[in-house]
Amino acid sequence: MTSDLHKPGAALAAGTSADPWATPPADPDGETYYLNMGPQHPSMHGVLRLLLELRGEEIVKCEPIIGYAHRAHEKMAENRNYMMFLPNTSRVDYLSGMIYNIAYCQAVEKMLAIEVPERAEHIRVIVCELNRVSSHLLWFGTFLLDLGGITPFLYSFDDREQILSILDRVTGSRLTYCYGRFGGVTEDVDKKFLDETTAFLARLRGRMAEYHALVTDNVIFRSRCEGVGVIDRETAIEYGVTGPTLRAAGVPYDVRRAEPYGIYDRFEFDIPTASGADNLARYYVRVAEMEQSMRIIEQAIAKIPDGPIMPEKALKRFKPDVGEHYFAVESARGQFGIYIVSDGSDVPFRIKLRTPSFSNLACMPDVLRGTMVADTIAILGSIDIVLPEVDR
Amino acid sequence: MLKTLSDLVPNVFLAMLLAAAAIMAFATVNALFLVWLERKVSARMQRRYGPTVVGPFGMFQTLVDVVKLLSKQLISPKDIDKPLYHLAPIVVFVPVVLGLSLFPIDKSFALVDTNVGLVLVFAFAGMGFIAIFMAGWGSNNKYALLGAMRAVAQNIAYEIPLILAALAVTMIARSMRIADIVEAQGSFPYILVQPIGALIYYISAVAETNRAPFDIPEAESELVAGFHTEYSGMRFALFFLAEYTNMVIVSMVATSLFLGGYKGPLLPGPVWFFGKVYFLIFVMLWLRWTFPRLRFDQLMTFAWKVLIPLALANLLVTATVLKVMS
Amino acid sequence: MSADTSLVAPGAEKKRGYLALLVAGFFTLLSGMWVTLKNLFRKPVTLRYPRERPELSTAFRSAIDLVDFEELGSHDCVACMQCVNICPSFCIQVEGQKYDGVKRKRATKFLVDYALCSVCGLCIDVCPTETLKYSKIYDEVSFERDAFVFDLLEPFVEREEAFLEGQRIADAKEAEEKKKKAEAAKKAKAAVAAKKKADGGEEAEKAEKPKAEKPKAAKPKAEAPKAEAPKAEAPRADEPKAEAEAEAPKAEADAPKAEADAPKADEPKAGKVDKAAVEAKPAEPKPKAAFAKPDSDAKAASLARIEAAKKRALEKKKQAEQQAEGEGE
Repeated sequence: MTSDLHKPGAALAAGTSADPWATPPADPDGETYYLNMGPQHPSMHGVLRLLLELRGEEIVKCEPIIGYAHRAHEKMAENRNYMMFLPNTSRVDYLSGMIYNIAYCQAVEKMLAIEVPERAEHIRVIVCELNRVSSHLLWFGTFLLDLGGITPFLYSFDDREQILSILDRVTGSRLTYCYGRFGGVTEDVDKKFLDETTAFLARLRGRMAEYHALVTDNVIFRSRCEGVGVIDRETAIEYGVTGPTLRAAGVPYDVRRAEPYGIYDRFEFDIPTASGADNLARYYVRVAEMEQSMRIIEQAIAKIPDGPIMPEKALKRFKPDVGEHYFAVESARGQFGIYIVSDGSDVPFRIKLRTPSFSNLACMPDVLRGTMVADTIAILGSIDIVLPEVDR
Repeated sequence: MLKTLSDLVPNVFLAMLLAAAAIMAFATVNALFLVWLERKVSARMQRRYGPTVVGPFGMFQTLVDVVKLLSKQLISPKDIDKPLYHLAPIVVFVPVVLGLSLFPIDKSFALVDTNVGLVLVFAFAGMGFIAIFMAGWGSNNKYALLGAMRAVAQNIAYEIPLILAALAVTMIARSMRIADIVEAQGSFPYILVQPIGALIYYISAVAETNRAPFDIPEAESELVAGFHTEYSGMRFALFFLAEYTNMVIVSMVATSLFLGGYKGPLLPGPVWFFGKVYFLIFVMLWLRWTFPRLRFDQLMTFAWKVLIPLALANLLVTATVLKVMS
Repeated sequence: MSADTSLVAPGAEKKRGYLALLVAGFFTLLSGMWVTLKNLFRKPVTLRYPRERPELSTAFRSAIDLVDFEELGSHDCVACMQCVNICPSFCIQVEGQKYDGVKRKRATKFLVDYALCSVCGLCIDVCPTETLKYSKIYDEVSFERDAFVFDLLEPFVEREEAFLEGQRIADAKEAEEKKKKAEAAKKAKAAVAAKKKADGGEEAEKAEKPKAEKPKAAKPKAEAPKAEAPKAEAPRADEPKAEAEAEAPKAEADAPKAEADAPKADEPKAGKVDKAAVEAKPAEPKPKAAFAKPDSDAKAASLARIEAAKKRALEKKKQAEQQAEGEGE
């Protein structure tokens, strides 16, 4: 039982049972014991199973076991044409479905060198940033829920509902959007949409003061977050951690700035970073990022031109040239990459999705070692994983 | 003069029976009301409606829930410690019911009146944790065991400041009879004399009842449901009933020790008494629906490094002042 | 950070003593309690769902439905199968039939399995006659899966005969007019030709004129009001017209396919999905012309890798088959 659990599958190999999913037998010395956290646990984020080896309440080893929400999205992509994969994208990460949906469109556009009309580009920025804010708001609520605070969760959901309603008005969906099309978007936005968005930004800024009074400054919240779950710079880079989790470790890496896609190079925004690399730093980065997203939305609303939302000639059936293409965007959780291999037919030969949650989750065994059971869920919550995205 | 039930009813057995019936009825109705209140208050704080369907303002919702719980199958998990597992819900319920009988609700009436009332209340409250440990140990569930271990550690840590704070009051009142303590608070309640003591008592009391932000024994986001993870149906309901009755008891103690019990102008004694009790309970609900949960080690640190030194200092100051004044 | 949020970067505040921290911490708790107390007296924001219903947005997407065109008195599904082919969830079943005297094909069966649908809207985008729209169903509940198989033609069944009759008349008229127009065009052409003969200099200008008229003339009557209706997208508005021109040969081309589909539709649903998957596959055989001329080295490398991967997959499959056979024996 002294084998290093950090090697994937080590804990499972240690179990003598023929069933690979069985919990390993109890420690013969009686020093430690195993605790299965998940996949059925009221506050586990999705169906993740954490196999914890505990000494009292202290975690000695931890192994995340994934695969319970595997839906073979990548395989599905190989069996249908490019267009038919569109609805799948927003279901990979249902919390930033819009970003994923648009990202896939942008990847295909890059592959086919399609020009996207200006208006469509602006609409895309607005809806994607709204989606990012809604994702961060949901994270804010569930993170507090992980810490035992239920009320902030409902407040943030109230705000998030507003975003969903605004997006519902143009996209027709509330969660799993299929709004992007190759070359543009499906529906044009009207003035009411822009007005509603502006009104919502003002409202959210007002609510932020309330959130800070209720949560950010709260001494219990601070003591639960400060110095807990440190994912330092080296660990983060080693594991390929991206997104707010990486920025909370002091690395100002944001795909929107590092490799601007769409029209992000035209907007002014900061990349919030923090040095603590702990739960509080991640909290800070996400909340500050909401403000930055709001800034981007404001600029996009001010600049949005009139014009078409789809190119002159809409694509129907197409066969891209043989080749390999990689396209990355900044999702709410980090770098989301789409790697498309085309063999010249109208069906992709291979689509590989590089999802941020998977890499972010990978560092868990390192981070959780030596922490308390009570912090497990909090740390897991702070890196904001979406399990369907991990498993795809 | 304070009258007890045995003064009013000549037959001792009849008096016991009546007292038991009255307390059971009160505990049940109170729990039904409190669950409804909690749901309603939490809902409104979170800008929801809460129960609205059954009865006026959904007041009978909890009654319907009890009917549901009564009709549910009692599931016992595999390999449990049978006697402990089955006894725990009963053991948790008995002491809290006993504790209820000790408080004078008016100048002239208390169910039972003893000269060590305060000691008895704390003794009964301490017994509840044995039941929680029985439940956690007997359930054959690691989450339940972790919850039970936490509950015991928490109980030991918070019983100390709780009693230290109460001790300061008994020193001023020079009695452990609850009725005497209330009477001793002539024109002003002891919260004015003992503000820090009152605060320490109240915080410890919230921890003692396993309420958020100190609800680590049943911390939902970590331990599923803690010590009562494996209980279903009416067994679970008994734990629930005990939790809410416990809230009433600690609030009754607080009311009697610090808020002047049944005393108050104009309105009759029982109204003042229950008014104060339910106000304190409302604050408990308010706390629960505002704060995140403390971590286990922080909870212990808070008890040993903050509450106990403060309570000791408070006791020392009180004793010194009393000695000087006499 | 902007001024209206009080977010302070972690670690920015001063270090304080034990008691000062305790008191400050206590006050942060009070400020939190003040927030919840304020909210206690605010109006709830939730919708009491079964009693109150949300107002659906105009763009709200639900199961697809057929548009009831006023000028046609019915839907305009021509059973072109484009929606069936594009559907990623394989949840649409369409069958069509050609009637005597009616120019265009007509849908005789249009089933949508809403339980499978992912409301992506691809079928609506692809529909050449724009006869598909989103319905506003949002709280359909059932214990049976089949309850979500919607027959979209149901509201049109009674009107079908009348529609066909009307369409026959319209088509006959249109055909006549077309003939007339064609004759007129011929005459005009002849006139132009005659003029051209007479005056060679103005040739270019004159030749253009009848050409410009032609598409207009060919436009079917029934289509006219629809085409004129304001369209959101300029390129799309052209499609129905173009389609109409190409209609006759296309409908014929579709006919054998529809017939091939017919027996399939009778099979159980599980079979249908398989079939759909099979149908999607024929796209896979690679057009050899595309491979014949690799433009660059990168392309060649990609191709080589792809081919290798395919080979590996094939070998694996073969191995598995052999193994299965071996076990079978």
